[in-house]
Amino acid sequence: MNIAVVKEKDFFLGESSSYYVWLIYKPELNFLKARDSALTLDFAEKISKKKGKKHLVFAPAKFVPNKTLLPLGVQFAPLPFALYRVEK
Amino acid sequence: MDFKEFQEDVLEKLDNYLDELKSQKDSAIEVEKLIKANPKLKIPVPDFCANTWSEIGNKGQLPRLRATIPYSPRKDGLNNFVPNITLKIPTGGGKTLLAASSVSKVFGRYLSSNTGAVLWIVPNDAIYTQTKKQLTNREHPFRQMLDRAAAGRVKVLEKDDPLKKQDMDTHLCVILLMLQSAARESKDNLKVFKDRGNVHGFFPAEDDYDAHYNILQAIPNLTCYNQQATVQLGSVIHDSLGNVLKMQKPVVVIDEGHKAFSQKALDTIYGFNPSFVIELSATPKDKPKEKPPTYSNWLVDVKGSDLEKAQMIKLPINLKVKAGDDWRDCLRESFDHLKKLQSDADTLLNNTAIYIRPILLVQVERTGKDQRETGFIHAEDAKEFLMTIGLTEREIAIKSAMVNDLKSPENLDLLSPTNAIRVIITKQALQEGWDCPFAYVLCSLAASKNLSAMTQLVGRILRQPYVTKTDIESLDQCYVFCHHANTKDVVDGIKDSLEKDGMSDLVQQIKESDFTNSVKPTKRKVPRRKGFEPLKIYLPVVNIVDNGTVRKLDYEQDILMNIAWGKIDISPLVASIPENVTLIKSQMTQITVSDGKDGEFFPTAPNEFVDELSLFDPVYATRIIADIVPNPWVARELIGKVIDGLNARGFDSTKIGQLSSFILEEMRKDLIKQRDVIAEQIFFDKVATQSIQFRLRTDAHNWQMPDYMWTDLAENTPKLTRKTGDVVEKSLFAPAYMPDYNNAEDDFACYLDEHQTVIWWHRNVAKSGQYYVQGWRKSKVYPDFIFAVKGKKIVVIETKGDQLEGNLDTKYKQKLLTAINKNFSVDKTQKAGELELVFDDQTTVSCDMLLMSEWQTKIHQHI
Repeated sequence: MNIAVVKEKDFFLGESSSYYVWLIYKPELNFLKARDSALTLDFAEKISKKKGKKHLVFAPAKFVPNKTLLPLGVQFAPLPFALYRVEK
Repeated sequence: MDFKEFQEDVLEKLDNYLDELKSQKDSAIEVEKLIKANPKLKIPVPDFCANTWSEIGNKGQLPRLRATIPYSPRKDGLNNFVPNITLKIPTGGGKTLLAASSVSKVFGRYLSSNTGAVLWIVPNDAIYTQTKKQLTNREHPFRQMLDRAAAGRVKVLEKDDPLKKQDMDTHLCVILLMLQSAARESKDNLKVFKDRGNVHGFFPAEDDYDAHYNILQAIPNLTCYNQQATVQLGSVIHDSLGNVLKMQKPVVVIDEGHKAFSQKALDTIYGFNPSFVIELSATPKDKPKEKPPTYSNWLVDVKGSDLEKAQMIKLPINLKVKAGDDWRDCLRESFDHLKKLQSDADTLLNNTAIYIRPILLVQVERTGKDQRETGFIHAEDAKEFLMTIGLTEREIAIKSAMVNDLKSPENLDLLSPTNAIRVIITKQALQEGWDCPFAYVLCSLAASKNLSAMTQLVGRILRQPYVTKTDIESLDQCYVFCHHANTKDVVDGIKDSLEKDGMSDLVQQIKESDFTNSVKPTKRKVPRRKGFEPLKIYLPVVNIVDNGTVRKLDYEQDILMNIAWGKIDISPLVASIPENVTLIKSQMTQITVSDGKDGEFFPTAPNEFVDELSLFDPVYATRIIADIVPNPWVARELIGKVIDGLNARGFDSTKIGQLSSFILEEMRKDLIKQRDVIAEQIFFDKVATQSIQFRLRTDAHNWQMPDYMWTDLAENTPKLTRKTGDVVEKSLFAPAYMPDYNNAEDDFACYLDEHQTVIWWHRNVAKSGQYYVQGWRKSKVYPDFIFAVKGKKIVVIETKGDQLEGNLDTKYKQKLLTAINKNFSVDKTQKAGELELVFDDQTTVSCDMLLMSEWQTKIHQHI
């Protein structure tokens, strides 16, 4: 992972060969529990403007139906379960 | 390989039969010789098969149940009597083993030969593959059984393999054939009967007409070039598998014999001039109405209780019917049970090195690619939930008409310790012949809608691994979890299926027509009725209007996101957990088999289970409620609160561990209830502030009735008719087909059709593209009927069966429809540039829900 490209404020983590990867995370429990930490339509629409690759968003929750995410090229990976799965 | 007691019994009866048959045949041959030597003697050749049957009947060796059924003779293509027997053995009773040993006995005791042909007919692909695997493997006991009969010289052939006379003379050749290859409507174009280049040495050279003539005289039913009604010089016999068989007089084994019981199938099979026919079936058929009547000649009748005694099946069947709408909870409980079984299996492995990996079968309502999000439980929904509660993708297989994860190389051998599959999700694609002894738990999420498919699947979990009880009680039984169904119906369904199939699978559901007509149904359009083609029909949808933008209400975005989980009060839940642990045993219904002494073959009894001791795992608990509480940190906090609350009440960790399953179940119920209450509040608040609207709009944010519907019913499907027998006249899409309606819907549709004020009506189904109403719950409501009444009124009606009156789902729908009905209006605001639809001010839309018993008295309010 290239630390230089990480934009913490925008939750942008970097890119893999096929994805732009986003991580909605702050090391604060209150943030993680709050609605702000979820993948929302606004967030999905915002990042979908960045064209070229699909988007993979790690976030604690999502409040957009997959049907809406699909045409925007956004995929959701639930935190922290998605990380567990990778570990396995 | 050791035979089970009942198998020994079957083989002993077969021995007796064969001995008697041989002696009867010898006498028949003597008579034949006598007739040949004295052609003037007018004595008939005795039917040695019928005589054998009556002899062993007199000795009391035939099944008592069939004492009154007469012997039914069969004749081959040359008009000779053919000895034929049916072994009635439930699936799971070792049919293939018994078939292999029967063949071995027929050759040894009756034909006194160790070479020749065996035609082995199987009903479907799954059984074909399985049988081929077993018979070609020299290590396999079934193969060894045949090897014993043929002194090690066995050849297993498929229908296209080269055939040499030399092989047939020196080997026992087993030719495997699938039923449809042997018996179809027209047998002329079957490969079996086609002349081909790789059949060697059976028939004379093509130009040796005399030799051909001689053979044809002996065996007139051979197919040949220049075939005439009577045998003539100049006909040349086809070099085909069919002819080879007719000449070799094979021993025929018919697996699932009841499937080959049509006259066509019998004609083809007996046309091979068999020397002996063994049928194996769980449910042998009879045709008493035919002239002359045809019966299966049962030599043995193996019952379910025999299999139980022989430790071949898992009994009892433990059935748990979960009330309520929460299918995820039913799936969770099934998975929890699977985990318990897994830990028992681990113990078993440690103590005895016997490997069992219990598998959960999940039956869902839909598996199709485009059928998600239509309010039915979809395979992907189930998979998603199972992954949330801790399974990995590799551990879950979906088996449907389109997707078959079980075919991937790593999944092929389900019994292998390297196989990862723990859950198989299906609708009804697990055919007969598919059975996996490791399948222990069936979770049916579709029992209420498709009981017969569910009971079919029960047969899939019955087989005991390694045909030996493990002595661990839990691993010697099987489990059925049902969601949202009536216990009595399920118990009756299972009993019925066990009874019908002699403790086997539900073979009757797969009818013979399935393979004669393998053409897949194709979709076609059903157009609007004549005169209604140009009609534009709009219906209001539940919209969310936010800062001037209008879009359809979305549950996740507009309701779920606004739920303040902080408001959830878990103290009533904590207080409701009882202290007395012994109270919380889960109750299950057990169904088992008996010998029927008390007049009941399938006794049913309630039984109590005590959950195993385990520790409460908060991370697992978080996953379990993750589908209700979308944010895992919030979920973890709620779990924490419950634990704290219970600790404060004096529960220690052991007690909480003991109650773990109960706590989770109660917690899910409580959270769903509270979530829905809050969601309802959010919905009505938004209605009050007019941010949720139900208006017929001039700006195109409506639902539009499509111009055509899709159907996969055949064109000649019966059409929906009124009581007078006339075809319905007012359905918006024509024709309307009978199978699309159940009885109650049929009545309702016909009532509308006959009513003078109704202009058109449409049966709305829960499918993408159809009309729905979104409320404060995730599932959409697809009303059953939409119809137009004179006076510019469109009525939307949801109908419900009376048994559902008062149930939570019914109450929800009623409330939602009443609410939107009250808030309906016509909205003429419209943004510049948007298409304007023109409505009459008089247009009204009304929505209602009617119970089936009351619609006749209440419908007049709408028409």
